[in-house]
Amino acid sequence: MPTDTVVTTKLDAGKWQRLSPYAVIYYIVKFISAFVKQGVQSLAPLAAVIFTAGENRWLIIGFIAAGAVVFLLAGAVLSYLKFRFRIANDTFLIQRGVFKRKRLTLTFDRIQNVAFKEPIYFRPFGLVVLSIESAGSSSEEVGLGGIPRSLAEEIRKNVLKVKSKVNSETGTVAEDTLTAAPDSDDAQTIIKQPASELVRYGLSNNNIWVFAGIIGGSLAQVDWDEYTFAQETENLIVSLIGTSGAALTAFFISVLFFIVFILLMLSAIGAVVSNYNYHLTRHHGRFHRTKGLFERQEKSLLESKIQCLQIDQPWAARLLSRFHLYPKQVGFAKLGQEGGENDMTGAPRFLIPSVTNSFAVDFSKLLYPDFHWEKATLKPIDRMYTRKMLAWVFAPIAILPATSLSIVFSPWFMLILLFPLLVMPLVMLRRSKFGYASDGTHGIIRSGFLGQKLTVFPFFKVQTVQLTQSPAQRKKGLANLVIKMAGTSLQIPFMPLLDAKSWRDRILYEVESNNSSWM
Amino acid sequence: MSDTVFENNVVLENSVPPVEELNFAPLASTYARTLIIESSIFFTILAIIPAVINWFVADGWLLTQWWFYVLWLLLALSPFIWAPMVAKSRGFSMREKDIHYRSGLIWKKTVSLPYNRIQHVEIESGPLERIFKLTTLKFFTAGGAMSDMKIPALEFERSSKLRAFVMEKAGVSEAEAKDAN
Repeated sequence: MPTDTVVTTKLDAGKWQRLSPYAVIYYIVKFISAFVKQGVQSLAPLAAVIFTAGENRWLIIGFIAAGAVVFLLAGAVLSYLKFRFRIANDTFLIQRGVFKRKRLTLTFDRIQNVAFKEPIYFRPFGLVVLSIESAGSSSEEVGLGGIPRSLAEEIRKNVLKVKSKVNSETGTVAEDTLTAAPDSDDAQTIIKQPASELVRYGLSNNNIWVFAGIIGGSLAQVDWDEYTFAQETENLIVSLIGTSGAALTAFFISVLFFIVFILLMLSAIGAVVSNYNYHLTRHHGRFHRTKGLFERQEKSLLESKIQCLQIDQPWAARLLSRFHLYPKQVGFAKLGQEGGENDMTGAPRFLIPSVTNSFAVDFSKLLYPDFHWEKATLKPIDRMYTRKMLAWVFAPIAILPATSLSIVFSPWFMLILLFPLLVMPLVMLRRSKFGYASDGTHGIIRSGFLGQKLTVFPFFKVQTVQLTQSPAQRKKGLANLVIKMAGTSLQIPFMPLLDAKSWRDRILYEVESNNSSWM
Repeated sequence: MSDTVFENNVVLENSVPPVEELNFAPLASTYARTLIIESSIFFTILAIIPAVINWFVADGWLLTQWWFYVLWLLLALSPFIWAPMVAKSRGFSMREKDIHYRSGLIWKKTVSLPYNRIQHVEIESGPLERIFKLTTLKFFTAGGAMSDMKIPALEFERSSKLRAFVMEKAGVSEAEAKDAN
């Protein structure tokens, strides 16, 4: 252990530094939330012990609780004591770990981003959590939990200063050269979102349906007959409403509506809490965003690092005529943990919630000034898509249960074979949502189902292009095109072969002739 | 504006010739043989697993059935028909600025990878490949965690030469980028 470890509010280059002692709170909160997220099921054996303990039950519970508190405190204090960081020679070094020492070395040029979070419990002390997004593949959690804001700002400045130096060497756009803090006065406000828009976001994002699906799925797995309260509830409902089918149906439909209503409320409240006072500014080629009610979160995003712009419109957002924008970064795992900010692939998200069509167009112009996709008519994909999806995906799904159930039970189950016909309108809808257009240097791809997703991207940011053809596609002159970017994969199925080839050749030309850095 | 936005660039104004005009170089001549051995081993294992399970569950009833052996033989011999065709369908082509890998007998696929997007290159050689002195060349970009292009069945000298060439190209394009600015 280095002896010259210092606890300062200033950046001491070359010396090992510690977090603020209040970081203990950060670790306590972190442990508890990690426990709630992952460890709750491990309580089951504990519960068994408690329930079988008989008379000494309360004593045992007391012991366990006291033990847990001591363990938690000791863990948090040790984590704080064992954590130190150092900045030297354009590298960020972190040592941590109570039982197993972990060392992390990050060179500044691999750091994508530095984000601040100000949890409510740090606010009285003026501390922030600094998290680091790196372009590495490591998914280890690294955040400096609890350093003074001034120090955090100094670190960010240091990282960015070196970054601009690196960038000018490799020859990226001059815009990158920035040394000033992103929140200085001449930053231009891009958007401020009032609570009403955040409520719209909460009501129209797809998260609640995913959540409802998970809940529904897990409820379906429970064997309700085992629980007496299920029986009691059933009796209660029957005694209140009677056994009339119509009344019961009406009852269940209203319960369902009530549940959806509650979910919508929760989603709206969640959206307001996490995005409260959403403020996006732009300064020297960098976007800067602050948001959050209990935990203020600050994040900057270098414009040149944006790989593509995703314009999402889930079906509910269509009713509200709003869009949710995601300027997408390199999709490597994020070092600075904390849920909610990451999408399913673990890539950091930079959401601009609930904006109008004209804002979406303007924002796209900000990134890609020469690309006028809003004036273009997107080309559709071939109708063959519908036929092939029905024949190769939905028909096989229907055939197995139809044949097996018919053999075992009744030939009436052959009706399942009509399933592909039933989903046909939906597949047609899906096909009609696909669309693409290009101006030779940028592309736009639309996909979706009830809602839609537009992805706008410059060709030179592409990594690889794939073209596939099935025998039927070869006969009809069609192809599937897969465009891979750092962290995003785009697909245009059943595209005319000529278009697919010209997209591929054009993309390769742009990638190979454009010397701007993609990262 | 309508479709003109797209139509503009169907005609390429310069340089990049369409990928279709490329000549794809074949892989090692022993590739078909490795494919045959590989899939024969695979199908044999595929047959052994149910046989073993059956031995414990139903006292080896499966082993007394003639069709089990016929089925296994058909599967194990099938590579003699398709492996040469599969081997022939795979090939790569290099241009000054990109590399292309073509594969697929029924579903044809071409992956195109510009040198200046390559992050690193790996040469791999499995046990069977080592017997035939073959290697697999893997190219990685920032496009995903998996390799973006895999060229199998290259003789060792060929793959190291290829790697050196590609690495140089990837480096050169970076240097060019520096000069240009």
